[in-house]
Amino acid sequence: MESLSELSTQEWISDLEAPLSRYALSLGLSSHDAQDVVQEGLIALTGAMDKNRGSIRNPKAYAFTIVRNNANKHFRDRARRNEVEILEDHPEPREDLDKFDEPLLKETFRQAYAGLSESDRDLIRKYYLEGWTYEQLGEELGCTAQNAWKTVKKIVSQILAGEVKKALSKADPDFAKELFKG
Amino acid sequence: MDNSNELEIGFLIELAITGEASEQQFEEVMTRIESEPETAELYRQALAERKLMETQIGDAQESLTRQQQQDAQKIREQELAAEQDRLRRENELNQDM
Repeated sequence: MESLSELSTQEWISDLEAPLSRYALSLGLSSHDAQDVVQEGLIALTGAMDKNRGSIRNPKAYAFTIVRNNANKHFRDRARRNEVEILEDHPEPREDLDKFDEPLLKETFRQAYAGLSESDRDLIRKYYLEGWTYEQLGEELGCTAQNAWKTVKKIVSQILAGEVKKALSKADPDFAKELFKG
Repeated sequence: MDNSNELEIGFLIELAITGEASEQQFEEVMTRIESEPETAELYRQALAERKLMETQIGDAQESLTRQQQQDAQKIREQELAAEQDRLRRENELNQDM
Protein backbone atom coordinates (compact mmCIF):
# COMPACT_ATOMS: atom_id res chain seq x y z
CA MET A 1 0.00 0.00 0.00
CA GLU A 2 1.33 3.46 -0.87
CA SER A 3 1.70 6.17 1.73
CA LEU A 4 -1.55 8.08 2.29
CA SER A 5 0.09 11.37 1.43
CA GLU A 6 0.95 10.13 -2.08
CA LEU A 7 -2.67 9.37 -2.95
CA SER A 8 -5.72 11.51 -3.64
CA THR A 9 -8.37 11.60 -0.89
CA GLN A 10 -10.68 9.35 -2.89
CA GLU A 11 -7.90 6.86 -3.60
CA TRP A 12 -6.72 6.47 -0.05
CA ILE A 13 -10.25 6.33 1.29
CA SER A 14 -10.95 3.38 -0.99
CA ASP A 15 -7.57 1.89 0.02
CA LEU A 16 -8.72 2.01 3.63
CA GLU A 17 -11.90 0.06 2.93
CA ALA A 18 -10.35 -3.44 2.92
CA PRO A 19 -8.28 -3.11 6.13
CA LEU A 20 -11.21 -1.36 7.85
CA SER A 21 -13.53 -4.19 6.84
CA ARG A 22 -11.14 -6.80 8.18
CA TYR A 23 -10.83 -4.78 11.34
CA ALA A 24 -14.63 -4.55 11.72
CA LEU A 25 -14.92 -8.32 11.22
CA SER A 26 -12.18 -8.90 13.77
CA LEU A 27 -14.25 -6.96 16.29
CA GLY A 28 -16.92 -9.63 15.94
CA LEU A 29 -19.41 -7.91 13.63
CA SER A 30 -21.29 -9.89 11.01
CA SER A 31 -20.12 -9.14 7.46
CA HIS A 32 -23.31 -7.15 6.79
CA ASP A 33 -22.86 -5.02 9.90
CA ALA A 34 -19.12 -4.69 9.27
CA GLN A 35 -19.90 -3.28 5.82
CA ASP A 36 -22.39 -0.79 7.29
CA VAL A 37 -20.00 0.29 10.01
CA VAL A 38 -17.13 0.77 7.52
CA GLN A 39 -19.32 2.78 5.14
CA GLU A 40 -20.49 4.99 8.01
CA GLY A 41 -16.87 5.47 9.05
CA LEU A 42 -15.74 6.41 5.56
CA ILE A 43 -18.65 8.81 5.07
CA ALA A 44 -17.86 10.48 8.40
CA LEU A 45 -14.19 10.70 7.48
CA THR A 46 -14.92 12.19 4.03
CA GLY A 47 -17.34 14.67 5.60
CA ALA A 48 -14.83 15.72 8.23
CA MET A 49 -12.05 16.03 5.64
CA ASP A 50 -14.25 18.13 3.33
CA LYS A 51 -15.22 20.37 6.21
CA ASN A 52 -11.74 21.02 7.54
CA ARG A 53 -8.85 18.94 6.24
CA GLY A 54 -6.40 20.30 8.80
CA SER A 55 -8.58 19.32 11.75
CA ILE A 56 -7.72 15.64 11.42
CA ARG A 57 -4.10 14.94 12.25
CA ASN A 58 -4.20 11.23 11.48
CA PRO A 59 -7.09 10.36 9.12
CA LYS A 60 -6.33 6.64 9.25
CA ALA A 61 -6.49 6.56 13.05
CA TYR A 62 -9.67 8.66 12.84
CA ALA A 63 -11.30 6.11 10.50
CA PHE A 64 -10.35 3.17 12.74
CA THR A 65 -11.64 4.98 15.80
CA ILE A 66 -14.97 5.68 14.11
CA VAL A 67 -15.28 2.03 13.08
CA ARG A 68 -14.46 0.84 16.58
CA ASN A 69 -16.87 3.30 18.20
CA ASN A 70 -19.63 2.39 15.74
CA ALA A 71 -19.01 -1.31 16.39
CA ASN A 72 -19.24 -0.73 20.14
CA LYS A 73 -22.44 1.26 19.61
CA HIS A 74 -23.81 -1.62 17.56
CA PHE A 75 -23.01 -4.11 20.36
CA ARG A 76 -24.57 -1.84 22.98
CA ASP A 77 -27.74 -1.32 20.91
CA ARG A 78 -27.98 -5.03 20.25
CA ALA A 79 -27.51 -5.84 23.94
CA ARG A 80 -30.24 -3.34 24.84
CA ARG A 81 -32.62 -4.88 22.34
CA ASN A 82 -31.58 -8.38 23.49
CA GLU A 83 -31.27 -9.43 19.90
CA VAL A 84 -29.87 -12.78 18.97
CA GLU A 85 -27.65 -12.54 15.95
CA ILE A 86 -26.63 -15.45 13.78
CA LEU A 87 -22.94 -15.43 13.03
CA GLU A 88 -21.96 -15.67 9.42
CA ASP A 89 -18.66 -16.98 8.18
CA HIS A 90 -16.39 -15.95 11.06
CA PRO A 91 -16.76 -18.19 14.07
CA GLU A 92 -14.99 -15.89 16.51
CA PRO A 93 -16.34 -15.86 20.05
CA ARG A 94 -18.72 -12.99 20.73
CA GLU A 95 -19.14 -11.20 24.01
CA ASP A 96 -22.28 -9.32 24.92
CA LEU A 97 -21.58 -6.05 26.62
CA ASP A 98 -24.64 -6.42 28.84
CA LYS A 99 -22.86 -9.23 30.71
CA PHE A 100 -20.45 -6.64 32.02
CA ASP A 101 -23.31 -4.88 33.78
CA GLU A 102 -22.98 -7.46 36.56
CA PRO A 103 -23.14 -5.39 39.81
CA LEU A 104 -20.40 -7.42 41.54
CA LEU A 105 -18.05 -6.92 38.61
CA LYS A 106 -18.82 -3.20 38.43
CA GLU A 107 -18.18 -2.79 42.14
CA THR A 108 -14.92 -4.76 42.22
CA PHE A 109 -13.72 -2.95 39.11
CA ARG A 110 -14.59 0.39 40.71
CA GLN A 111 -12.65 -0.55 43.85
CA ALA A 112 -9.63 -1.67 41.85
CA TYR A 113 -9.73 1.54 39.84
CA ALA A 114 -10.09 3.69 42.96
CA GLY A 115 -7.14 1.83 44.49
CA LEU A 116 -4.76 3.01 41.75
CA SER A 117 -2.44 5.93 42.35
CA GLU A 118 -3.72 9.28 41.04
CA SER A 119 -1.06 9.30 38.30
CA ASP A 120 -1.94 5.77 37.13
CA ARG A 121 -5.65 6.65 37.06
CA ASP A 122 -4.84 9.78 35.12
CA LEU A 123 -2.96 7.74 32.52
CA ILE A 124 -5.69 5.15 32.15
CA ARG A 125 -8.35 7.85 31.94
CA LYS A 126 -6.45 9.67 29.21
CA TYR A 127 -5.98 6.51 27.21
CA TYR A 128 -9.38 4.86 27.49
CA LEU A 129 -11.71 7.82 28.00
CA GLU A 130 -10.02 10.78 26.35
CA GLY A 131 -8.60 8.94 23.35
CA TRP A 132 -4.95 9.81 23.78
CA THR A 133 -2.56 7.82 21.58
CA TYR A 134 0.48 5.95 22.89
CA GLU A 135 2.63 8.51 21.16
CA GLN A 136 0.93 11.32 23.11
CA LEU A 137 1.18 9.36 26.35
CA GLY A 138 4.87 8.75 25.63
CA GLU A 139 5.43 12.48 25.13
CA GLU A 140 3.69 13.16 28.44
CA LEU A 141 5.68 10.50 30.28
CA GLY A 142 8.96 11.29 28.56
CA CYS A 143 9.36 7.84 27.04
CA THR A 144 8.70 5.99 23.79
CA ALA A 145 5.21 5.01 22.66
CA GLN A 146 6.11 1.38 23.27
CA ASN A 147 7.15 2.08 26.85
CA ALA A 148 3.92 4.03 27.36
CA TRP A 149 2.10 0.92 26.16
CA LYS A 150 4.04 -1.23 28.66
CA THR A 151 3.08 1.17 31.45
CA VAL A 152 -0.60 1.06 30.50
CA LYS A 153 -0.46 -2.74 30.26
CA LYS A 154 1.06 -2.92 33.74
CA ILE A 155 -1.71 -0.76 35.21
CA VAL A 156 -4.39 -2.76 33.39
CA SER A 157 -2.91 -6.00 34.79
CA GLN A 158 -3.00 -4.45 38.24
CA ILE A 159 -6.72 -3.60 37.81
CA LEU A 160 -7.60 -7.00 36.40
CA ALA A 161 -5.83 -9.00 39.10
CA GLY A 162 -7.46 -10.44 42.21
CA GLU A 163 -11.09 -9.60 42.88
CA VAL A 164 -11.88 -8.33 39.37
CA LYS A 165 -10.62 -11.58 37.92
CA LYS A 166 -12.81 -13.55 40.33
CA ALA A 167 -15.87 -11.36 39.65
CA LEU A 168 -15.40 -11.58 35.91
CA SER A 169 -14.94 -15.35 36.06
CA LYS A 170 -18.26 -15.50 37.86
CA ALA A 171 -20.09 -13.02 35.61
CA ASP A 172 -18.82 -14.37 32.32
CA PRO A 173 -16.54 -17.43 32.50
CA ASP A 174 -16.02 -17.64 28.73
CA PHE A 175 -14.96 -14.04 28.49
CA ALA A 176 -12.67 -14.42 31.52
CA LYS A 177 -11.07 -17.46 29.90
CA GLU A 178 -10.48 -15.40 26.75
CA LEU A 179 -9.04 -12.49 28.67
CA PHE A 180 -6.78 -14.31 31.11
CA LYS A 181 -5.39 -16.86 28.72
CA GLY A 182 -1.69 -17.54 29.06
CA MET B 1 7.27 -16.96 20.46
CA ASP B 2 9.96 -15.49 22.73
CA ASN B 3 9.33 -12.68 25.18
CA SER B 4 10.75 -9.81 23.08
CA ASN B 5 8.86 -11.01 20.01
CA GLU B 6 5.66 -11.19 22.07
CA LEU B 7 6.24 -7.65 23.36
CA GLU B 8 6.85 -6.38 19.85
CA ILE B 9 3.74 -7.96 18.35
CA GLY B 10 1.72 -7.08 21.46
CA PHE B 11 2.45 -3.42 20.88
CA LEU B 12 1.69 -3.66 17.16
CA ILE B 13 -1.61 -5.41 17.94
CA GLU B 14 -2.60 -2.60 20.27
CA LEU B 15 -1.74 -0.03 17.60
CA ALA B 16 -3.81 -1.97 15.04
CA ILE B 17 -6.79 -2.14 17.40
CA THR B 18 -6.75 1.59 18.11
CA GLY B 19 -6.00 2.65 14.53
CA GLU B 20 -2.62 4.10 15.45
CA ALA B 21 -0.74 1.58 13.31
CA SER B 22 0.79 2.60 10.00
CA GLU B 23 -0.41 0.76 6.88
CA GLN B 24 2.66 -1.44 7.03
CA GLN B 25 2.23 -2.25 10.72
CA PHE B 26 -1.46 -3.00 10.22
CA GLU B 27 -0.76 -5.33 7.32
CA GLU B 28 1.93 -7.09 9.35
CA VAL B 29 -0.46 -7.69 12.24
CA MET B 30 -3.21 -8.99 9.96
CA THR B 31 -0.81 -11.26 8.09
CA ARG B 32 0.57 -12.66 11.31
CA ILE B 33 -2.92 -13.17 12.73
CA GLU B 34 -3.74 -15.27 9.68
CA SER B 35 -0.56 -17.33 9.82
CA GLU B 36 0.34 -17.54 13.54
CA PRO B 37 -2.20 -18.97 15.99
CA GLU B 38 -0.29 -17.44 18.92
CA THR B 39 -0.63 -13.96 17.41
CA ALA B 40 -4.33 -14.55 16.72
CA GLU B 41 -4.72 -15.50 20.39
CA LEU B 42 -2.88 -12.37 21.55
CA TYR B 43 -5.08 -10.29 19.26
CA ARG B 44 -8.30 -11.77 20.66
CA GLN B 45 -6.98 -11.25 24.18
CA ALA B 46 -6.11 -7.61 23.45
CA LEU B 47 -9.58 -7.05 21.97
CA ALA B 48 -11.23 -8.62 25.00
CA GLU B 49 -9.14 -6.49 27.35
CA ARG B 50 -9.96 -3.33 25.46
CA LYS B 51 -13.67 -4.10 25.39
CA LEU B 52 -13.71 -4.68 29.14
CA MET B 53 -11.69 -1.59 29.93
CA GLU B 54 -13.82 0.62 27.69
CA THR B 55 -17.03 -0.60 29.23
CA GLN B 56 -15.83 -0.35 32.84
CA ILE B 57 -13.47 2.62 33.08
CA GLY B 58 -16.17 5.21 32.35
CA ASP B 59 -18.45 3.84 35.07
CA ALA B 60 -15.59 3.47 37.53
CA GLN B 61 -14.45 7.04 36.91
CA GLU B 62 -18.00 8.43 37.24
CA SER B 63 -18.51 6.51 40.44
CA LEU B 64 -15.20 7.71 41.85
CA THR B 65 -15.96 11.35 40.94
CA ARG B 66 -19.38 11.02 42.62
CA GLN B 67 -17.78 9.53 45.71
CA GLN B 68 -15.17 12.30 45.85
CA GLN B 69 -17.92 14.94 45.49
CA GLN B 70 -19.94 13.32 48.29
CA ASP B 71 -16.86 13.19 50.53
CA ALA B 72 -16.10 16.85 49.82
CA GLN B 73 -19.74 17.76 50.51
CA LYS B 74 -19.64 15.83 53.82
CA ILE B 75 -16.49 17.69 54.86
CA ARG B 76 -18.09 21.04 53.94
CA GLU B 77 -21.19 20.14 55.99
CA GLN B 78 -19.06 19.11 58.97
CA GLU B 79 -17.09 22.35 58.75
CA LEU B 80 -20.31 24.35 58.49
CA ALA B 81 -21.83 22.53 61.49
CA ALA B 82 -18.64 23.13 63.52
CA GLU B 83 -18.69 26.82 62.59
CA GLN B 84 -22.38 27.14 63.52
CA ASP B 85 -21.68 25.38 66.80
CA ARG B 86 -18.81 27.74 67.53
CA LEU B 87 -20.99 30.78 66.75
CA ARG B 88 -23.81 29.44 68.92
CA ARG B 89 -21.46 28.93 71.87
CA GLU B 90 -19.95 32.35 71.35
CA ASN B 91 -23.45 33.82 71.32
CA GLU B 92 -24.39 31.98 74.51
CA LEU B 93 -21.25 33.25 76.22
CA ASN B 94 -22.07 36.82 75.13
CA GLN B 95 -25.60 36.49 76.50
CA ASP B 96 -24.30 35.14 79.81
CA MET B 97 -22.04 38.19 80.21
